[in-house]
Amino acid sequence: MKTWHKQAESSSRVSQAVRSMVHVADVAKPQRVILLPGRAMRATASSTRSFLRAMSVGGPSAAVGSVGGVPVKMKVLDSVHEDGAKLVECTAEEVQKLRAVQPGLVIVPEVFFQPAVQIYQVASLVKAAAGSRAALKKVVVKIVSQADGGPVAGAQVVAFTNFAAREGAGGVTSTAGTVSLSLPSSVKSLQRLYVYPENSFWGSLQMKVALAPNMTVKLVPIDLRFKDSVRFFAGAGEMTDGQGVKVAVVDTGIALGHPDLVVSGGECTVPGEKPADFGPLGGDHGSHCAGIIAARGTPPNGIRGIAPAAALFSFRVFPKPTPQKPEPGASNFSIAKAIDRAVAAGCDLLNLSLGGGDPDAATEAAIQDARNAGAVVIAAAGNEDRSPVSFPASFDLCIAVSALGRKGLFPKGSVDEGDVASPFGKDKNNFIAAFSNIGPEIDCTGPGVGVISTVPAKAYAIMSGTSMATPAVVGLSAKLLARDLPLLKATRDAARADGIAKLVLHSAKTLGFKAEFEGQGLPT
Amino acid sequence: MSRFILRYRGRGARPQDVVGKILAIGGAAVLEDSDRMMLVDAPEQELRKALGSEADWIVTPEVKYEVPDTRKKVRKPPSNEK
Repeated sequence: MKTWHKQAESSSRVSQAVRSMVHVADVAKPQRVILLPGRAMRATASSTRSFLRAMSVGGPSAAVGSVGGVPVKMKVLDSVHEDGAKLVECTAEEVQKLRAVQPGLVIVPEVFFQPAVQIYQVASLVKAAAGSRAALKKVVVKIVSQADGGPVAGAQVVAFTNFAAREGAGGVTSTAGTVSLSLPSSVKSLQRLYVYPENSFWGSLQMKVALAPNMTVKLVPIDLRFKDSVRFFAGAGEMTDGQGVKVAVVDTGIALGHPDLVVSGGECTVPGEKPADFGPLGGDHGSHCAGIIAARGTPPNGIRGIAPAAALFSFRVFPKPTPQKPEPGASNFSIAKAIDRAVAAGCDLLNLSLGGGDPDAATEAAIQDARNAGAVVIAAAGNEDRSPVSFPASFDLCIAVSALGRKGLFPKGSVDEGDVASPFGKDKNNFIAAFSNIGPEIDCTGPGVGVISTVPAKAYAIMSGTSMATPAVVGLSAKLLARDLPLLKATRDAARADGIAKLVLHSAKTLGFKAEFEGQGLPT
Repeated sequence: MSRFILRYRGRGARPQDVVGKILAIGGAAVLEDSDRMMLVDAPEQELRKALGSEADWIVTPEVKYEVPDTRKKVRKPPSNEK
């Protein structure tokens, strides 16, 4: 649901990138570029359509036009469709000529996903620091419950000596609730001390902490009656909200035995893993998303999602971690297959709280096929601190969601205080989270700071992210769709999907932010 | 050898002869197969050459996404300058 205005800006950017490429690259060296037919993946203008149809995949470099009688030659490597985007190989000089032959084409360099940037992990950091043992001192941090003083095991402790440079040390607490940090003897204080519990407690953030050999941090237990950002902005659902709507959570899998969650079906689409293993083997993230959409509990013993009557489907795309690959990524094959399977299962709304990197054709094709089959993909904008909207949320046929927060909806001293940032909304307590990506592709916003939801082991945890804002919008969308029976029962085609997207976005109300932060606003 | 996704974009059932073309490439393997897609391990140039006349197939490299996280992470050990 991106507007032409947004696409024009985007096209301008990529064209600029190609112009730069033309200037700096070796003009005689063949390179691969993608020819896009302007506003969409397939041409609408007849001249562009004819031009693209005349380009056949395979074979040697061939003339595709001429400038002043000089032929423009390129080799067509791949094609989305006969009148759709083409991957071609040619010199930068030929690209320049092509711009004159077909000014309506958008020409972008071909790019590839790179492995995640290597960063120091906490464990290796401590090991590295231990190399200069003489200059180090040990600091023991104990994490306890504020309620009863009991130790909190499994909490991740991150101690920054220089937050801007992300310098520091960290570790995970033992069963005694302690972790030992190695820090240079010269360090007298920490700029920031973060504690991220596994579940059951709010995270903690302390600023300007004086170092002592033994330190204690108290964590606030989660009270399921607490009104967090989801309950404030979206409200706890009535038990009939979302009735008749099927929602797919394409993620780490959903906790099948959680008392607040009912999973109607699903599949694991990770190559080499069992299709029936669509439980939370990939981590906690998917269960948390699922609870925001459709948890069926009642506080104080459970939690209530936005559309409890919606049918949840779990499509696990993140592999089961192994010692060799503790944080395995989800492949675009798994994701595209999950989207296909979710559509085949009759899902109306697909939650994609994942993303990153450059666009890839397989995921785009699956999302487009889902739209053609009447289903809508709602995707997270990403958590890279005001970076551009990540893929696939940036794809035109996704609804892209930024993360909204509100001061006062998390305890004092919680990690969520670090997410408060300008700009503030018309109500000055509202803000778009500091971590949220933004840009012209944002379609709407949803509550995503300090969210209480379900996690495996029948537990509850706080998470923040556009990953949480997305299921909040999915829940709101399910609620809206359930109330529009003609649309819910309509033939499953592109018009139905467009109708659902319009239903959601037309319901949105601005909170007073610029469009690049909130899109149309918060669906209601 | 690299892993690629092949996705069928044509109308109707996907052609069956494509698998044979892929397997004819030395060392190539079809790792996963679904209605519209295949995950294959094959040298890129040979794969694209084998599919040269198959206009209804998208070929794209397999890539990985991480679980999104908002937790702050340490990137460098603490310096001694404090």
